[in-house]
Amino acid sequence: MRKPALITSPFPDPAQTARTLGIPAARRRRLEQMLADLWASESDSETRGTPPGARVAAKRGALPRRRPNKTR
Amino acid sequence: MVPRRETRKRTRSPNRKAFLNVPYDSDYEPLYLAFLAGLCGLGLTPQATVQLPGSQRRLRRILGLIRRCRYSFHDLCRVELDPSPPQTPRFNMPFELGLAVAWEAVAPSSHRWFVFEAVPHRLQKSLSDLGGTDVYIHDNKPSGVLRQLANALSRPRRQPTVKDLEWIYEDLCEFARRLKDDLHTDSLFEARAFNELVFAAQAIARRRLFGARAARSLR
Repeated sequence: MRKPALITSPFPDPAQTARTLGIPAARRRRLEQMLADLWASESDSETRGTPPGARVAAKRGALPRRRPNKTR
Repeated sequence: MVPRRETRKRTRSPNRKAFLNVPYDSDYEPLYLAFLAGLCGLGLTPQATVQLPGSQRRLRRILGLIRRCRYSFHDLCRVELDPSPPQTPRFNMPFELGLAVAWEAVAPSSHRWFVFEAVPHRLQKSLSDLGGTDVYIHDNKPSGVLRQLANALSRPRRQPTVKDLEWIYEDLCEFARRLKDDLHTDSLFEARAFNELVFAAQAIARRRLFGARAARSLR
């Protein structure tokens, strides 16, 4: 198997990508609001408080792995 | 007095563009979203022929697009006959793969291509000229696409796990459903939907990999 391609460039800035793709500022704000609504609905749903990745695990029938609470 | 020559360093932005060569049909939509989620999760910016405007000759535009991309991803899973009459196989995807192969041969340091398929060993029959090439088999499943993208690409820092990519994919699917409503369209294989999905996938990836604060700092 060929070695994986190594990506050394930093992660792209979505705002920069929006400009490059010609997404107007008003439309970008609308898309950002749609994302914010999406994430808000997620946190309001039954998955509130579950660690990242738990939704996928829960869908597969596995129990979500709890993160150690460092404050205790 | 000799005027001092202005020495201005030109900083070139890194080329993160990834040409996506996939079927454009509604059955393929989950895998299409998986490619967008996976590529954005790995820090790339997908590009596709759906973005091309219609004024120039199509072949020239496709060539230009491939040349501008550092990577290309070709899914050759549609080898069956297209059922709409007259029944024909689709040659666009293998043709565009051929263009990418030729471009890498001309400029090896500028381009790298990857081939995906749904069924193991089928490519040896459908395109035997690619014998000896690593083919990434996704089993027609979004999770397969994400797994194979993680096999094909790596990052020295903040390498996302397949679980990270699955999370990004889930959020992108939900966003795509809302985007269809917002754009009053049934198809995501259009320039505007494609561009907005790329923007959203990058924002979702940033939130997943760097936290909610990084996502908020987009504004």
